[in-house]
Amino acid sequence: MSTVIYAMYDDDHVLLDGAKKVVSKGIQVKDVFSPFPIHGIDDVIGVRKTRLAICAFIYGLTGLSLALIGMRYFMIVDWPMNIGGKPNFNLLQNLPAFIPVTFEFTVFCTAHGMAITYFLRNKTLPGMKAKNPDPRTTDDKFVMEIHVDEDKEQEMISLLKETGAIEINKKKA
Amino acid sequence: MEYTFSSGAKKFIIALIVAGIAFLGLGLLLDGHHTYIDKDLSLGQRIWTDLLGNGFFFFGISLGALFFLALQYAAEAAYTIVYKRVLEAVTKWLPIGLGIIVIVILAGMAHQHHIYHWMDPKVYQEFLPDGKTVNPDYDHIIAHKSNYFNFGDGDGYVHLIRVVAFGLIFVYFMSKFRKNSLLEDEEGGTRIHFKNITSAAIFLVLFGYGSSILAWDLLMSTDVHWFSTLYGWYVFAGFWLSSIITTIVLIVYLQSTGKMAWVKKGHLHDLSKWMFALSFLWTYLWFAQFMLIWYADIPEEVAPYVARIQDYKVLFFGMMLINFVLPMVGLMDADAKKKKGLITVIGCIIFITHWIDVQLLIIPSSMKGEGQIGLVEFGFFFIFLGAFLLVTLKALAGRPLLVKNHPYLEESKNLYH
Repeated sequence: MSTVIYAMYDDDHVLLDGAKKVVSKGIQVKDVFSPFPIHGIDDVIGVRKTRLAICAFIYGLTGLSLALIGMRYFMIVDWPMNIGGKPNFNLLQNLPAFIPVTFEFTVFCTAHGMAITYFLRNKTLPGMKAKNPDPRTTDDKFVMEIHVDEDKEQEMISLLKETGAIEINKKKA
Repeated sequence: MEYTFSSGAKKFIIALIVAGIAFLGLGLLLDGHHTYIDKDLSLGQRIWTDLLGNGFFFFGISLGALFFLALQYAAEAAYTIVYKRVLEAVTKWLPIGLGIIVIVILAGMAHQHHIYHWMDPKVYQEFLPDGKTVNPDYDHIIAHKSNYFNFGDGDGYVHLIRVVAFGLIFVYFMSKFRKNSLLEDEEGGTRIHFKNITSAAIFLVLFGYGSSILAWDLLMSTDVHWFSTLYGWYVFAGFWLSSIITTIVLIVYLQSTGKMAWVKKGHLHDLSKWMFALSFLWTYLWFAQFMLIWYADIPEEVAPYVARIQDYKVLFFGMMLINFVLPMVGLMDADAKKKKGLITVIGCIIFITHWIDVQLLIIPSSMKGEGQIGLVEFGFFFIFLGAFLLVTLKALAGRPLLVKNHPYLEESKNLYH
């Protein structure tokens, strides 16, 4: 049986130092809940590097290709239009005219794709139930989540108190 | 702490200048037998064109560094403080660059070259001296711009006064920032810091006008029939980028000699982000200018592009593609921006292509279809680069590499680990 301990802090620097101490004892910090990003916390608790950038690149490429394929079809293959006498025989000749739309569509796909991926991955899409342990972490409190075996529970709690936690809650896993 | 001008660096600079002189000599020998089809063109015209192109390019690097320095003061930013002395050293070339530009303008006013068509007094007279015959050289477009350039004749001083005035304003702020920086080391406290914020704000306003107006006066007026509203920003984006690259390369060089250990990977990462972002700004402005003119296709607007695309197609599109694609592909990844070798190599390549960019703003206008970027041009480039590095490294060696007593010094040092 293991226990989930939630240690609450009222200062991000105290939490950062506390997390360093806990990690140096060889205990894994499962997660940290905070109203804003805490600088340096990723390295301390060993969060894996985000792969969102790779997604962004793929979404961007998708937008770029879709825009170019679309405009080639609309403006050159299906219904060539003569706008100001600009060449409409092939894509490359008319490329300067298509760049603004391509650029905008790439940004559109990247931004929306990233935002939706982010919400999905965090399970925070509109209508989903919030899963943070304490609603105060969306305001001015910081919570550190730690999983320990039941027999080491008391030892862990006293260690966390030492690091400056103001409140400790636990829950059976 | 201090940088001493090493003999290796001296040898490198001498080698640059010697290579430049060799290129130049060889180029002049070859050009001596060349006959130009256009009777206005000559070897002299080519040399003055290169002096203006290189003079402006390196003047712009100093000006860009000065702008960046002032921007950090006005924004009260801490992340540049650890390499503030490098930025200050890069601004040192400013008065010399201004001097070279002024010499080129004076030579034009003395009719030693025809880079600036509007310096010819003949284009302003509608009739020949007899008062009846129409002057074949009369150019009503230039005549209508005469108030801006020289009040109705070829010898007015309005243009020269404007260039010198803005130049001297910039030089004044440059020497002031440099002086204050040393003073702060001795004095401590925050008095100079707050004074710098005020003067930086004033400088930035003047720079906003001055950089655009200098770009029109020095570069755009070589195509005097043509104008573009975003030309000033386009030129500014280019030289700002060049000054960031210069700063990066100098820091990497200093670190390779074991100096500046307090500049962490994160600080270099910041500068690479600027290099990445400014490449996009520059390309954005290049394209914004090109696309509207290409699409509207109005004869008097397309003339400079026709000149560049007809005779300088490979250089013109090549340098644009390199300046856009190379930073985009090479520096997109966050880890790539922290690799010293990679950012130096990419930086040096786009530095040279931005030099080509500045040359292409002038050469097609002043040398028409018969210009080239050849031995003479590269000779001047190497000589100027050598001289620029000499002045910059001397300025670096003159004072400690790290500021003392700046209020944000500790924050800047501890920003990255």
